[in-house]
Amino acid sequence: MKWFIPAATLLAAPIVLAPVAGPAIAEETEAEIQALLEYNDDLMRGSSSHAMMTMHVKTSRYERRMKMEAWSQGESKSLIRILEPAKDAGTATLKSGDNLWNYLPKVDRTMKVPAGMMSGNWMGSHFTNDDLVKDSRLSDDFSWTVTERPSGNSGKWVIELVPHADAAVVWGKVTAEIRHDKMPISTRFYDEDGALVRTMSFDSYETVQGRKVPMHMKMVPADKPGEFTEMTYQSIEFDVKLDSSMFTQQALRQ
Amino acid sequence: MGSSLTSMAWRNVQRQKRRSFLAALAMAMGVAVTMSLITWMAGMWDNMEVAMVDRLNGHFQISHPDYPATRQMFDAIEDVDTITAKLDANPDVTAYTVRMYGAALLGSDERTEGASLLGIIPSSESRFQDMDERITRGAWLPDEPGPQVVLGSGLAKRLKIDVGDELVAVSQAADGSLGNELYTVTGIIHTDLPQMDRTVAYIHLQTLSELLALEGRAHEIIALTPDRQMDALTPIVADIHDQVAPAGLVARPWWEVDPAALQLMSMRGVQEWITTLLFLGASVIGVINTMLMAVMERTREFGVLRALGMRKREIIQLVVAESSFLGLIAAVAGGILGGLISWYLVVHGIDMSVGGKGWEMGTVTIDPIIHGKMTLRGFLLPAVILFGFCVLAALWPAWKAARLNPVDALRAE
Repeated sequence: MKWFIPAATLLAAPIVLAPVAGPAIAEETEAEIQALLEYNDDLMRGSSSHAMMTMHVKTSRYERRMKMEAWSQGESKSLIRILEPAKDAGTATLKSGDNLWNYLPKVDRTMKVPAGMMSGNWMGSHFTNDDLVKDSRLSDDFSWTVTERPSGNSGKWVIELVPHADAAVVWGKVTAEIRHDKMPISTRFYDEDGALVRTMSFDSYETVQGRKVPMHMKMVPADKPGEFTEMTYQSIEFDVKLDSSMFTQQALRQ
Repeated sequence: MGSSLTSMAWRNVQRQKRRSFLAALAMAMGVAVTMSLITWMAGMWDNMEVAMVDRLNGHFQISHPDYPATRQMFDAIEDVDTITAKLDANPDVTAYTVRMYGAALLGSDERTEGASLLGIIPSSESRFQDMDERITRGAWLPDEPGPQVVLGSGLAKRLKIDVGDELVAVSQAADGSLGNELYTVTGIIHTDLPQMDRTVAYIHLQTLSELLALEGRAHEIIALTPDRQMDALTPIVADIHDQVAPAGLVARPWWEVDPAALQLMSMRGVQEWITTLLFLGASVIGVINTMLMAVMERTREFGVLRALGMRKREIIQLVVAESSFLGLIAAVAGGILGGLISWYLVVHGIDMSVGGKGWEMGTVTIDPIIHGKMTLRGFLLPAVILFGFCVLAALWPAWKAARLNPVDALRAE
């Protein structure tokens, strides 16, 4: 799993695939898909990252915008700190492996998110705490089928992914759309009954340090009409030098 | 029934004074005991109703229509002050309190545990539940809003925390933010509901509303009226409902809030009947015996009466009349005796305290001394039923007497 911001797990996950048990397609095509998926895999990969972003959450109950700064190192460590609004400023989430801690500046305490709360939402968004830490490798757990291919410099790939029977994956099916230039367009997540659960879409592709990445993504839950969570990157840097002490509970307090 | 038959019956009752007296006495005792039991149970039932209805759920509740089912933080009463102003102005509302419910993570220095937060207004909540009486350590919440929190004993144990310690509360607030506050444990509460003690923390309504970003809102208003009975309460609640409906709220009477309580309360009448039938049924067996004896030993007499031209129907009427006299005497005597015992139960009551305290039902206490309650029904039911039983019990002996062949009867010894 690649990390440049924790929430990117979601957008990264479905496109980080390896056709381990790929269906019977032409050898040449399989290699092509392999390369495509690996490209997407590498797209989000960096030994480390540092990003400034805004999160916009709209629900039927509330709407909120937050400015955040995020750092990541490797696949398992990341830190997100809220900068705005003032009420939440300083609140930070640390991910280390499968564990999640929240630092609450108002009470100056760090609390580990207990197992029972992992399915709860993260900072009022449509992402759950689990989304931040779930490290399931879709490449290991899914088999895929290509249902559409781009032709030349237009069109897109549509790849359907079904988890292996023994995989610990909550989704019944995942559909990924990838543009002809290997940029992610959308990822749809279905439950085990085949009903759409959430849709992630990507756009605003920009070139950062020589690589093209989507700077905007939007998550729309299928069962809540009108609701969404949007992430927009103001800036992102890859392979930055970060001290590993940054990803400790002590550092959470800043 | 002719008056001659009546006076004959009355004379017959007097012929065996001792037997009549004992039979009537047995029945009078039955009436007295039944009456006293009903009086006593009525007192118990009233106490139960106070505990289960008035104190726990109030006579009616106001809430968002979806809240009872969803228990969703967002399904709230939006403008509490407007609603309470209406209640203040309503002469039918004698008391009310406002509650808010929330879920939070509570963290001590050692542990973090999920808990239910119950936001209350201590000064008006005391009219309902007596949580202040269940404090085993420390103190109950002060009337003024503050950072104090009272923990259930099981919850305090899970958190390894004690009175005076600091406690962090983190909760998903209504505005999407992560509400977090620092509180102080001011008391530990212990009720007879361990499940509740393991999960519930009590806090001032205003303090909780700040944590949950629900200022000015609440989830439940519970209120009392002068009368919890259905016929009196229904129009009052309907009126309140019309007043709160424009604000998107509902007012529900206690029997809709807690149908199980209503079911329990409806057992009251059944219990009175069962008690009456059981106790009086026993004494009526004595009446059957008495009347059978009275008929058997007077076989010759009935033969003479038949020979003199008395009809079967009149024989039956005679025997039934005799039994009815016994029943009447028993009902009156039993009524007087039962009335006296009931009066004692009403005035003095019976001390049912457990270790000097009343029965505890969760956060509600039943009075330690239960006073009886005299009701017209409790007074009339045993007397009327006994009289009816006496009439019915005489039918069989009466039929036996009427069936006698006059010739055979006259030959009988």
